[in-house]
Amino acid sequence: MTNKINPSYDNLYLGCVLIAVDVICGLFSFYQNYKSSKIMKTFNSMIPVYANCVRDGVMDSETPVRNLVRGDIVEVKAGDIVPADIRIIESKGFKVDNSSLTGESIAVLRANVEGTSNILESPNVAFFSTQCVEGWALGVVLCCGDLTALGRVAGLAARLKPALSPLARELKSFMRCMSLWALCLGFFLAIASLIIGYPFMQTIIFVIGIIVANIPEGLQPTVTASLTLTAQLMVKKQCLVKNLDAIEALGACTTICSDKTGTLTQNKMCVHHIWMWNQTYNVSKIDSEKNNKVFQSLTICGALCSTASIQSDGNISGDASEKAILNFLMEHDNPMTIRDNFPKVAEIPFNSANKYQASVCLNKYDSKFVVLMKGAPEYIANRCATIALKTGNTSLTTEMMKVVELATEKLANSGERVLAFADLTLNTKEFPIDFEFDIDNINFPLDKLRFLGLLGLMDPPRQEVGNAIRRVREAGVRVMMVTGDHPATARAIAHEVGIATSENCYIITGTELRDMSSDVLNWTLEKYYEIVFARTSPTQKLQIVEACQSRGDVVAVTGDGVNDAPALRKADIGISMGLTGSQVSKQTADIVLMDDNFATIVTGIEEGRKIFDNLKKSVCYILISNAPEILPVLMFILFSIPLPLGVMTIICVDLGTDMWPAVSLAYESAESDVMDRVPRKSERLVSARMLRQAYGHLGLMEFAAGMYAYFIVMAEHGFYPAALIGIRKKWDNVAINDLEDSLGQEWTYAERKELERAAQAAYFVAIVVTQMTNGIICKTRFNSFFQVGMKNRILNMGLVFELILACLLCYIPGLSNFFQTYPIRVRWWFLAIPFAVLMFVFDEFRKYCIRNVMYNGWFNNLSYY
Amino acid sequence: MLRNPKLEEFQMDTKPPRKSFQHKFSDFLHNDETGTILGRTPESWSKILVFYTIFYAALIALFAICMVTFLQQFINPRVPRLQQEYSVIGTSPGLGFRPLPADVRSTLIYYKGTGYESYKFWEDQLIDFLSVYKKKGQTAGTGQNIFNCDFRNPPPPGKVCDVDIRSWDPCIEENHFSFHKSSPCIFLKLNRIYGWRPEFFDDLASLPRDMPDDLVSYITNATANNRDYANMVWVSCQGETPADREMLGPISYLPYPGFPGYFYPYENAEGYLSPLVAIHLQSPKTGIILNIECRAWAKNIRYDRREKLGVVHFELMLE
Repeated sequence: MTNKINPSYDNLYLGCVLIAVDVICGLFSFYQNYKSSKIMKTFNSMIPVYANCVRDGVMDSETPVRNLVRGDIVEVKAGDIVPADIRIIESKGFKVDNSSLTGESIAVLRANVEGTSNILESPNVAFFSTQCVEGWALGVVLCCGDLTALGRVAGLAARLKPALSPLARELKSFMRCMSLWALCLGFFLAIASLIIGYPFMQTIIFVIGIIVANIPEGLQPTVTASLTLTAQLMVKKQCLVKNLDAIEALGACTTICSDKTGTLTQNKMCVHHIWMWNQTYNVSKIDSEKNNKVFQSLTICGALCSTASIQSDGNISGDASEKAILNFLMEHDNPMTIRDNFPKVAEIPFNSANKYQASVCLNKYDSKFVVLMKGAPEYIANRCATIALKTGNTSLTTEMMKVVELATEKLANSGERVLAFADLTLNTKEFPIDFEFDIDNINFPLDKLRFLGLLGLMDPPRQEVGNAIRRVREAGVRVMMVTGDHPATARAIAHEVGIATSENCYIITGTELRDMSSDVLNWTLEKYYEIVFARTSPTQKLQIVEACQSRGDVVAVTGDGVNDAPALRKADIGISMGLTGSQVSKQTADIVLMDDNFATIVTGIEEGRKIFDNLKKSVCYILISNAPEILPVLMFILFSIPLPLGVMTIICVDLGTDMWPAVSLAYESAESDVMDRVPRKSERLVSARMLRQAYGHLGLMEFAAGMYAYFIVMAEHGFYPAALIGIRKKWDNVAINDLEDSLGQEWTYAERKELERAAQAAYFVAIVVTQMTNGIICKTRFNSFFQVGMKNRILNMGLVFELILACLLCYIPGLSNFFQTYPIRVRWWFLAIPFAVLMFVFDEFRKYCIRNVMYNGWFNNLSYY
Repeated sequence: MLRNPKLEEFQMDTKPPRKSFQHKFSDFLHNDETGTILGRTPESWSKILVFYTIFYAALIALFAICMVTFLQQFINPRVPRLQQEYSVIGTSPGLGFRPLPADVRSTLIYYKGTGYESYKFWEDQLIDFLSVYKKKGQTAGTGQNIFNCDFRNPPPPGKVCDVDIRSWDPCIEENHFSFHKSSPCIFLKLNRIYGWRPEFFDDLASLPRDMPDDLVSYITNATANNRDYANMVWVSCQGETPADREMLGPISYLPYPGFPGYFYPYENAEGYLSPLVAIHLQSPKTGIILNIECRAWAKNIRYDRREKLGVVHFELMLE
């Protein structure tokens, strides 16, 4: 027969708090997801997709793809993505790569021919999202959006869950372990509590407390905060992170396979060297030769042979090497005046069969026709009879030919593309001013020419690349070059940017790669650190990435071209160039470098590693407060003392005071060793070392601080520690209203419970004080606190917040009732100070040992998480 | 297949030996090849042991140093550091009753009939509770502290006042505390609070309005003879509802309806005995639950029925 006139509100409060916590957590993660998805949306709109669309007879090359409707006519060129499902109405050599849709790896020809009943195999339809590899086509839009073949597949795929990123996997397994541990502990305590005779309700509250204490509630916001924060930072560095997890994966990256053209180099040909008889001039030192007659002839020949055109606004358009020649000439002469003075009368365009290009011009000064030729040195030299020297022309002897060949080889070996120039002034008798030149049946001589000289052209590496690659390699990341270019060019660039540092850099060409078994490829990757893959096809790029991944590497691929797209997709982190990159590569990539700055990758690696480091710090911070939350219950059961920490106060710590500092550790800047260590390969987010550190070292110190505060408060009121042990049964007995303390004072139940609240509040405050110290400790894993300082303003604010919140919880009358705290005396705040100092000193000592690898790295093995 | 990176170009990888779970487990317990026990070599284990011994020793030492320093420097073993209004215990002592029921959640004193077996539990409780008062002469160092107190002669420091429970007939052990006559005696006591001094109602005109009439008349009578009798913490008991009051019948208070002022303040003197009041419920109605409420009266005893301050509640049921 009980008579509870006024049942306690405590359990109601607890229920309210738990519900509030659930709702707030839900809202918070919704807000975070909403925010990051908003960022993602802006990213997507920053990479607009346009189509060439003819509507109402008007061509608009900037029609956004989403505005296409059925019946529009679109034009698709090589390199474009087909913007919708289209029926081809006109085409030339139009080939599409249907691999994304059908799995065919070979590009198929599509044209305006009769179709088949199966639309997927119909040779006159090209599908949305497939890529045009060759040729061009005009087509009528059949369907768009979700109605397209891809849209229907995507609709199916959307229901499937995508594979998790390494970080997400890591978090998932950690959360699973933690929950299991919390449930087991809760179960164990429930049994213990029921055995010692606690009512069922009280037991449930204990279990809730234990579970709340163990689950790291602050983790999810911390992860989202770090990723979003980093993504925003990367945007400032002109780097779009399309996939948030990719930035963390970049930190774990062990191998970078970089494309050469456009990624490492500027993708802009420049004249690098000039060879005129027996003399190689660097482009910067050619000025001294301005009055050399040979040089003047060479300029004229170059200006007339180059097919690049100069537009009215001064821009040069044309093929890369042609532009390079004109660019070079612009610095020394005016190619426009030359062209005006030598009107072109005929031209034989370059083709891969004859490997030269020739034009015939009329010299306005003497009204003679001149044949000018440009091409591969060996072909040109063979057609020459004489050679221009400073002093005049001499016949080209066999020895001289050898010298020319040697010079060509030398330039070619340094990665330059060599062009030879020759001219021949035609005789006015045979070729009068009204002579009709026929380029189909050549009626003018193309041999016995005068050899003028050689130009060495090269695509120079980007300025920042060398430095960036050095730093990436220092960070333990292997950089390999995978290019479709010639081995010699690849080698030269590799040397220049620092991918190859010694002569024994290993070069594998596509042909060699084709003959390799996967085993041999693996072995080669193992044996040679510096490897350059040259002349590789897109599938081979993919093969290389897969070979690296099968070795357990985390592979980043940088590329700009369409041919890089499969590798970009397959790679753990695909990085594309925003300015020079093709549409496909940008869409496939996880990260887009908007300003093409390779050095951003270094920042990316640093940021990625920082994210992982900071997550570890944050988890460690959260875990440390677990020990002082779990152990009181154990003390309560084992030593039968009044409960040192209540469930409400545990919730106050975990969801109140610890929250901000834990999240703010994500704002910590990178440690000094972040780029000096090798990439993590099988390192876990939460390791045994961290658990040792959290539960075995710092957590126990916090527990000691809390117990000290608890005992002192009890002792000051008259319950000396010895009297507390074993008192639990009487203490928690509602009927006993005259429990004697060590001084003979008699306490009623209500007075005792109030004292218990005061002692618990002191324990809570001790945790808050030690957790503040802990926030400072967890700022660094490796560096000393004195090296890092208190520069993280968010954390500083977090610590102040923690203190203020603890004060509010203790001293606001309603709150202290609600959360079962107590307005404790000011001096009890200082009880934890000795323990906080011990924590700090111990951890500084530990970090000192770790930095200096003292005791044979014993501390590193023990607790360097 | 991945090649073992440790192998040379033409070396062949050997097939790793298969191990059963038991084998693996025994390897974990003790591995002959590497000499590890439970995954660590004895050397490594001893290092761990040394480190943690030092670490925990240091932690415990700090805890002990802090504790001892505090207990020795700031704590007096005889005097609480925080007293009365500075302590959680406050300045309003709680009122308690004996005997207590066995079930912790209940405050019901219930027994059936007049047989010894039926009220044995309650009598034993009271005997146990009162044994301190009876055996005071035998307890070491306590007997000689007893001082014959009077309102005019409060005990000097270190001395304590006597509580003579033998003369409280019929509420004495020999009389089974009158339980067998269905008119049980209940003992009331006031909680000890170090240094607490009651503020007496020394002015008869200012007695609280809600004080029961019989107590008021008792006080008037008592103080008429001797003004010193005003220095009492008064006690009154009555039924909670008018019905209870009617069923309860007359109550007599032994030795007086209050705790004499000379027992206060409590200063943890050796052998201190809390003053008691025995209430004799002379003829309570049987077969019905009676709600009884006792209240202590002093200016500085706060009264709040909801918070159970300055009041004690119990039920009585006799059959």
